[in-house]
Amino acid sequence: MALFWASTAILLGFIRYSTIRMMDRETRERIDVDYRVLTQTYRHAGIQGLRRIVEERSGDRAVAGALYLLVDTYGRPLAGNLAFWPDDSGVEEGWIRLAIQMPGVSGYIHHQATARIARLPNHHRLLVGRDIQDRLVFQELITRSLLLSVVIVGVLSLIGGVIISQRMLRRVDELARTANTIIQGDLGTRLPVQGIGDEFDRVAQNVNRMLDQIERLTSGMRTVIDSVAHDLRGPLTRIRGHIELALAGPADAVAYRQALDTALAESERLHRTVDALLHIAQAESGTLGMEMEPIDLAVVARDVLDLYQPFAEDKALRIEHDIAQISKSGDHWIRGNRQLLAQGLANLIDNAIKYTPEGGRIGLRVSFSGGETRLEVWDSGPGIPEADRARVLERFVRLDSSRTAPGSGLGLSLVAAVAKLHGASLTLGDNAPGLCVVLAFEGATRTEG
Amino acid sequence: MRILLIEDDKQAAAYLVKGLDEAGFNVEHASDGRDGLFLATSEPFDLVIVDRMLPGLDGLAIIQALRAQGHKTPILILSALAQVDDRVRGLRAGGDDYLTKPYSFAELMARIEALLRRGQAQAVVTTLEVAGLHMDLVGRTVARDGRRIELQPREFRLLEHLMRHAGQVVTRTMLLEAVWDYHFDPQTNVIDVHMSRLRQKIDKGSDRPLLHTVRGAGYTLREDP
Repeated sequence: MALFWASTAILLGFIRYSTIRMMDRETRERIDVDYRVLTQTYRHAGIQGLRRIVEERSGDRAVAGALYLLVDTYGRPLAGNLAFWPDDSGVEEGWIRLAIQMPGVSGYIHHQATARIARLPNHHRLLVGRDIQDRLVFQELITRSLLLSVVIVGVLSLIGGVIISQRMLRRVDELARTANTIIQGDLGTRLPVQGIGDEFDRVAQNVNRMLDQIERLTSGMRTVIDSVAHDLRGPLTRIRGHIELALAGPADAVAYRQALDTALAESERLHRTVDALLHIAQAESGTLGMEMEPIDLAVVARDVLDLYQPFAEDKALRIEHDIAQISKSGDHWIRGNRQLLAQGLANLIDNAIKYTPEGGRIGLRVSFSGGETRLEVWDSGPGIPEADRARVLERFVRLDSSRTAPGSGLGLSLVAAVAKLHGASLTLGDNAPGLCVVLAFEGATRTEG
Repeated sequence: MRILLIEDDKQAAAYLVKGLDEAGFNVEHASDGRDGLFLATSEPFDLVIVDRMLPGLDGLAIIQALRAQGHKTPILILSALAQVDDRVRGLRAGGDDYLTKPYSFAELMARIEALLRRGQAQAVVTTLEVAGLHMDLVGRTVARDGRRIELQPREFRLLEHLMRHAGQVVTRTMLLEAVWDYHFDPQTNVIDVHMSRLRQKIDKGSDRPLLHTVRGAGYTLREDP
């Protein structure tokens, strides 16, 4: 505020200074022109010529405000419109300021004037000047109005500043109040956005986006905890049961061994469930700092297919795929996390193989069209009823809670999470018969690397 | 063989010390990062097992400090963080292997063994030989007692890994890492299917099987069961 005021003052001061300077220069230039004409006349026509022209110029047709005086050796006026030589100047040659008396409405009034004086060779002296009283009046006017402006600007900026800072305080208070509500645990609240796009709105929008993300993370976390509790209770109960039974029975090494074997198998299952849940949670929350790199989806598909091929063959499944051609084309690069993509695809193929009866068929295709890279996995199994397809993609939803195949129910959830992490769309379709899962990665780059 | 275990979880540490001791290792235990780094820099060890999250000094910081000082001791990282990137970070910091908690003791032993062997100077070889099983790494051919065995590329890679670690236990996850370079745990034991095919090819019709299943752990390639 003070800065604004100071700069305004400096600006106005500069305007005053340069205006005065300009006017001053103009006056001096006019005097100079007169002066040169008169001195030249003196050189050509001598003192008489000069006297004539001075009389001419200071006569009735004189330029308003023009002052002339030619005096002899003793200071007696020879010609001009000034009554006497301004003795007080003390200057022999050059510029002087002088006060003159002019006839006013009532008596004489004092005017200020600027003049240039010269000594002529025979001790005559010449004065050429201009009345600058008008200019001085104007100058004072400028000074006064500029000073007034400075004062007005100062007052206005003070008032404006108070208003603006009060408005800012109000908005800051508002933000702080909302933030307090959020801190007290209401994660659903959002900072108010005025919709005028100012700095506060931008901050509020960013904070709101951050809150969205935090809410997503915490709700994801809550779901994970619920699911973990649910998925771990079963195996834990079984482990506990077997141990209790073994301890209650007779001290028999074989029975103990059996109980331990069961406990080990169950704990392995627990381990897998925990791993799967953590991976889903990780992909779900889009963990910050997750390494994403250019990945050839066709290569990942080839790897995973290679891993599962014998498993499928053991079930006498026919595998339909065009991996051999596509991996050569190099057209299926996306930005992604190789491990998670492979795991997601492994889950899809795992499911396809598991749910397809012996002698059926499964398929895998990677294609690029319409700006997206598509990864399709299909099977000739029972498929998923259309009504359940959306639900099965929700986090941790099991279609049938009695299915106890390892990791079942989590497989598709992980795929959904991986898809979300990669900004890919996941659709479940009907393969008539069977399930067809399509992952479409947007903004895929064609050849890269 | 001396192993330094840097682990703050007392129960886990006691269990590891006991297990490793029974397996014939000489184990030193440090229960926080600072002590661990001090021990690792002041005494010679054949292997360092370090927990990822430690009081005092983080596991990764210890590894970086050791590597910065020029220690080449193999380092195995134990971590409760199952995140994909955490593994990458651990290995990048200078760790040699990474094992996620909970792990089976068999898996840990297999990895310790592999790391200790790796420490020994490994000359560049063009052929591998295990009890009459011959692998030509240049010509990509395998023969057993002079009889040629046709293998698919991935079967060749699996067998190569087993032969390079002949006599050691190789777990399923180690195979998945070595042959496919993936670190997840497949929901189905797909590795078993691969191994049974490989076994069919190399042990078929032989009264001296070479490829053995180690119960609860994985596989091993050796002459005696």
